Amino acid sequence: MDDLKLLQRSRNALPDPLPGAQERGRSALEARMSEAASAPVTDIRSRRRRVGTIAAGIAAVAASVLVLANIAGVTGPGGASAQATEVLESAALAAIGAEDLVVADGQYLLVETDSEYMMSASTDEANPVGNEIGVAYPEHWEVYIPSDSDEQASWVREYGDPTRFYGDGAREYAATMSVRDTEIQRGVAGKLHNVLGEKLLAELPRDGAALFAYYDAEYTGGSASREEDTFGRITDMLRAGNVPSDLRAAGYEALTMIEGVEVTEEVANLHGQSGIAIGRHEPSRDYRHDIIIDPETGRFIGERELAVRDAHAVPAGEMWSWTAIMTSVVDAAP
Amino acid sequence: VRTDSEIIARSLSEPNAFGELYDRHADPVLRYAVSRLGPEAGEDVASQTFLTAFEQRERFDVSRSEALPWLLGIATNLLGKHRRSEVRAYAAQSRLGADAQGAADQVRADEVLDAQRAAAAIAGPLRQLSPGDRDVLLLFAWADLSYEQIADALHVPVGTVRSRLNRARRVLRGATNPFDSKKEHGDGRSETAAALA
Repeated sequence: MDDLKLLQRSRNALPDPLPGAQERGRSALEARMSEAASAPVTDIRSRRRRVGTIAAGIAAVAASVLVLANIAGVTGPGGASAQATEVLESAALAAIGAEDLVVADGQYLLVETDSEYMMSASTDEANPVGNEIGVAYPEHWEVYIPSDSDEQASWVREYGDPTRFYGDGAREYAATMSVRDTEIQRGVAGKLHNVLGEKLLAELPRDGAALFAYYDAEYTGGSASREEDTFGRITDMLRAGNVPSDLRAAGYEALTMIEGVEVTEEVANLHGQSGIAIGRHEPSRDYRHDIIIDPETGRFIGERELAVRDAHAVPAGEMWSWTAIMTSVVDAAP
Repeated sequence: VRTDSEIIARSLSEPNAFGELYDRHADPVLRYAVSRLGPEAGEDVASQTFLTAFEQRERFDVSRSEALPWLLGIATNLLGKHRRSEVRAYAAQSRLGADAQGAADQVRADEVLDAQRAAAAIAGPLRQLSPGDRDVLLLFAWADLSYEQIADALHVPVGTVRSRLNRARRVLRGATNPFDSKKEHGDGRSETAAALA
């Protein structure tokens, strides 16, 4: 189910106000209004409007856009830059040639993801602007996918202690918000987050243009732009642990058809493994979203969200999120 | 019909005029505060929201015709003082998933069952969100504000609203996988997650 629908559905279970709550609130306000009405008239002048200040702030932030050195500026025939197109097509070829891991009966495909995600907050709720902090939390995921996707899969999530802190008071804030925990969920693999179901696997085209058309046609108005949304949904698919090599190849080709897709060479995933970043920067975002692929094998080895400007106490050049993805075959699942 | 900003402008010289703003917006402000803090603390926050708004009414930007985002922004700031109790409530609600299932089986009220399952399923992820991301998500999903209205309410650029909402939804999507499952926590607790397939 769509996550927003779930949230909206939950509204029917939210508590109702107590009987008479509105009337009590009005009485309190009436008392305050009466005090003000009987008080001597004071000099109430319109204060300077906030609008100009905020607009100036936005302009200052926009002026500090980071320029990435290795990004090709030429756009290829499909929408992505020429260099991105070349790299993606090369990765697609490598992916086509790669052999999928063989998972025998009783075995499991294990997809491990190490990640760091930034959470932003304010240390002063009354004055959030200028009091923002960022704290990066690590997570380790293990998804065990059985050879038969109708069988039960397991998903282990470990949340660690925060690793990076930005802004005054970030460490103190993090100390009050510990999320350290481990949880295991089990269920049908096809319905598990980050695993593609059999029906979808059969339905997705193995041709790049057809796959792009499939995702583009499914656009329903989300995200800041159609391009960002399509990029996000194709990378969601590529991130899944059980993407066969032919679908991965089509996915890379489909990315070349999205306007604004660019390439950055020689970047590292969270584990320091070197690869090529393919990504987009949506102008309204504080970061650019890259997938990281191994150009030799076409494997999807991680992702990153790189800050392109100073925002929420996080300086340009830092990572809003960063992952490393590894796959292997194991004989048992927790 | 007077606009909200006309009411507020008038209330600068005639304080009692502010009552009309209360009658217009008390219900959504109260429901939003109660949804996040429960009936008692929520009622306190809603009441305090209007008292604060009244005191700060000369700071309202009269170029904006509607006051609801401004009021919900004040309410959200006041909620910050109750953040820990809000987070504790989500944790409790998440553990109540199994109870919600049992209670609803008895009454056979599908809508209630759905809503309770949904509430139990999202409680855990809501607890994991940073306060800033949670504010944006719930102003959007429970208070029905648009991106632009949320930006007004929280005094942040629209781009920031989009990125916070995007991040919050990713956490929500990652944690509300819709399948029957047994959830085991590191401290030995065990609970049944609601089936939402």
